[in-house]
Amino acid sequence: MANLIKTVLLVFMLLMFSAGSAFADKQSNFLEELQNKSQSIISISCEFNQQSHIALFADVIESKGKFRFARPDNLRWEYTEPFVSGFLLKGQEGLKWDGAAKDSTRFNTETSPEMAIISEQILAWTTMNIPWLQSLYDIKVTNCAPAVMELTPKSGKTKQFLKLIRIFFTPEETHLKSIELHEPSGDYTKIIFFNVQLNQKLAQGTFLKE
Amino acid sequence: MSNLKRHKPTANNKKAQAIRILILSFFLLICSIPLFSVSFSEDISAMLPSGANGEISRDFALLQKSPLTGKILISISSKTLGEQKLGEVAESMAVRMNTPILSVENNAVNPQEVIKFLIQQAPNLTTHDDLKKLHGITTEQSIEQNLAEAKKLLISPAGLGMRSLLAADPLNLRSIYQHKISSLQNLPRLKIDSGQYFIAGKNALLIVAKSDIPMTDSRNGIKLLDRFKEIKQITLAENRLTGTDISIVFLSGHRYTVANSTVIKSDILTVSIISLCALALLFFFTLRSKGALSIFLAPGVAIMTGLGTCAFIYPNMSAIVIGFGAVLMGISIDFAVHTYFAMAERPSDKTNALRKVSKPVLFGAATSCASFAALYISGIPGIRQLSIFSIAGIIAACAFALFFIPAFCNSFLKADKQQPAFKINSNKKIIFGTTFIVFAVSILGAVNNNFDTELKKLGYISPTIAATEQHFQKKWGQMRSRSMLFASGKTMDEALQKNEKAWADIQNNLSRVKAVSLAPILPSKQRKLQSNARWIDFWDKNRAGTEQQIAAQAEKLGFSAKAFAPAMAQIFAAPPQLSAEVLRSGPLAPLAKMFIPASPESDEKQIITMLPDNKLVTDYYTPQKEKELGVRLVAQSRFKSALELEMKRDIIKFISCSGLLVTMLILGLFRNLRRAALALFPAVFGVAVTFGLLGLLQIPLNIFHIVALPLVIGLGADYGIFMVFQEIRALSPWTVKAVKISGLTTLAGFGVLVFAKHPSLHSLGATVSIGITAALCCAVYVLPQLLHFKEGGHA
Repeated sequence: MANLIKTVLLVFMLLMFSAGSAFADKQSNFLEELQNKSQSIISISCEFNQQSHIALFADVIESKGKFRFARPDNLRWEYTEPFVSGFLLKGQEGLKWDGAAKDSTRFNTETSPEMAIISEQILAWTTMNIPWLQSLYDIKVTNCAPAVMELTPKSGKTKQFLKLIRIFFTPEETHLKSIELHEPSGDYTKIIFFNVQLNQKLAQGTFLKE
Repeated sequence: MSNLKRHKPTANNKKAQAIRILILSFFLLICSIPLFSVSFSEDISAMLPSGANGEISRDFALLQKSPLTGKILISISSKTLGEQKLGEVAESMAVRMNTPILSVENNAVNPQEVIKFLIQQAPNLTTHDDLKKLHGITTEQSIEQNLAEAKKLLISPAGLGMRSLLAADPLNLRSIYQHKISSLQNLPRLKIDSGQYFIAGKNALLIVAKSDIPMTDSRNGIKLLDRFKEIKQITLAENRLTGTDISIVFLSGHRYTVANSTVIKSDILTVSIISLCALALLFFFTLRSKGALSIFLAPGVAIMTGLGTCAFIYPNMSAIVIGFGAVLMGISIDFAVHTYFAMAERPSDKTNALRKVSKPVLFGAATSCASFAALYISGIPGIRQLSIFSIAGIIAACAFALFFIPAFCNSFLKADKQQPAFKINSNKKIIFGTTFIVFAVSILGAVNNNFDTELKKLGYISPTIAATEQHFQKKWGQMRSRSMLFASGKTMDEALQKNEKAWADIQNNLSRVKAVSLAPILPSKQRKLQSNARWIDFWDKNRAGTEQQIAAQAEKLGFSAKAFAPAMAQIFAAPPQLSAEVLRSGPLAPLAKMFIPASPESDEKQIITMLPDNKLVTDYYTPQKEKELGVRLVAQSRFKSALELEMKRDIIKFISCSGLLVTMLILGLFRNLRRAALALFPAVFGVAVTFGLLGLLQIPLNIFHIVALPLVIGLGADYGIFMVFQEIRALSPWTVKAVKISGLTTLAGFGVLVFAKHPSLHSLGATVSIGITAALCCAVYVLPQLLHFKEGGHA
């Protein structure tokens, strides 16, 4: 009887191990595939809807905006509703604007570390720079079809304001469907991307603003 | 050995010898007693003049409170790698610096926490100008605008990390109070990675680390150097950067200590070998008798006496003084040499021989003592210790020469009757001409002398350390060249009041200067009370209206009903505590530690304001200005010039005093102006040639050149005295020989220090070599041409 229990336990452990190992392999393959796909992306153009579940507000705040990216390091992130504001980045040089203000403000990521962090994060989520993400987050693929990925920050400093990033992919895994940014307080923000166009020629002046 | 005279000691002599050995042993034992209770300090401050009213010592102590003093600075730089990669390397190194040998303090400054702290402290920090701004941000329009801004921020990606700050500050108080720390932008830019902060420069990052190994501990310093090398190698390998242009170098006091200790060990070996060979040759060619060996006991007796006396007077002795005192005591052999040769001249009549030699020996000792006594008027504490050490040593060496040498020496060299006392050269004109030219050129060369007051140059700087220094100067020079304005007081509040006054003065009169001060965020008690009153008065009048506006606008913008209730409650709460301790334990702790040096409870309290080290600043803070504000400006550039001035004063003071004392003694001895002048001539010539040659070779003078000068004066005068005595008494070839051997012994004993790599030993060796050679040549070749001998002075 004892031998039988031991055998059952051993088989169970082997199964668990092989299942875990298989899952790990699958995750690794998935990330590798994602990295390969992301490398082929030259430009991204999309719109987004954002839902902010923030305790400071009485209700969920909904906002809309646009996102543009072009290799190697051009980024534009802007809100169109309920207010107009945004920023663009070309290399290290950037510009931010607000509908309420007349003029836009120039910035440099070297002298504005907060803008450097924001743009780096947006670029990483949207372009799937896997090695960079792996250096900052513990990555877990929680669902394979359609793919869902969870990113937990490694650094204590990031953990202070970000508990988890959950990334949802389209069934074809060609691009992001949505992102959830969960905070330690329980607040979270969901960004849903739509009208996604990959590797399309972007309008001239996308990364310029008067 | 055919010319050796042996005088077998009789039974009485043997008994006398045994008694003297006992007396000497007992004396040395007595000298060693104070050494058990003395403490030794390796602090370089012992070798600094205290300056007028102790100004230099005080400034030196204040310089030690500079934020980077005692820290280990690690510079990581590359022309090809970006700041991000350098940051990764820095972080990779920093996480490995986790042992007491080498560690990095977690000095992260969280900007949001800092702003929250400032908002919380608003009741203590509100000035009259701030009141106007408070009125501005509490209008209906401003409240609406600020809450709308807060909403935008909360929704945008930037708001992700700002939730608590925005909730704590609906009125945008931060727009008023964050300006209180605006002067901090004049500090080097900090890069923060994973809780570690690095100072960012051009293509470079700086890690500020620390170690529990004292900077003067050479043995454990090696462990620190090895640990750094190990971390560097692992980091380079881990980041796959081996073979790239990345440079990781470090600078700390430990590196200098280890380099100095290594080079001193190697110098001691080299110099000892050369010195022993030279002394052995000298012994073989000139003394060659067992009795003469007791001469070499003289320096030992002198050193022990010097040490014992110094330890008896000073409970805390400078290790530097001991080292140099021991070297200087090499001269004590001279008296024994002269006594030995006097005995050699009349081995059968030691009493008369002793009588004959005792006067010049005593006067020689007196002039040497006078020369070293002059050092006591120096403003440098270490030099004063050296003076006591040397005087005690010389007196002991003189006593040893007169009381012990006659008893210990029983075999002597035979005088060569055929050998003349002097060879008076027929070409007097050539000798005088040459002497005049050398003297004149030396005086001209001496005019070019300058002082090297760079303290670290008193130690050995290896080529690799020099290259590292250059690197730091190039990359971080600007950061390190700052001056510090100290506001001090018996209490912290007194210091704070002075600090406030100084900061107001900077803003009025030095507004373009990049200054950094804590004054706007650490007010004195009086300012705090004024601020509290303003704050309370303001809110008494505006509380109801503001609360009403906040509630209305928040509702309009979709904020929850109680979103800002805690923030408003905090505004109306009692003013919180604000003191140096609060600042040291709050989110500004790393900066507070930099600007408020820790001091024991009993000591006076100090606050630092950082200023650039430039002419504008140093010229502005005149003694009158400092007195008016109650502050003290300490800058490297100012300290260096003050030190230089003080050292010049010191050298002039003690050389004049030494010259005067020696002149008076010699005048008293000879009671004849011509003879006195002749006796002094070798000393004057030696000093002139030393200064001249160092000036011509463009070797700047340092403290160790200066401490060796009394040696040249004292020994030069001794040679002069012994030679001039030849004019008074019967001319003896033994005296001339004794003078020559004294000089050669001095040169062999520590003139060879010129071969040392360590700058202090080299300086001492160079001074002695030049000065003693010149004085000896003058005494042996020039003086005889000027003396009138009673009997055949020449062959």
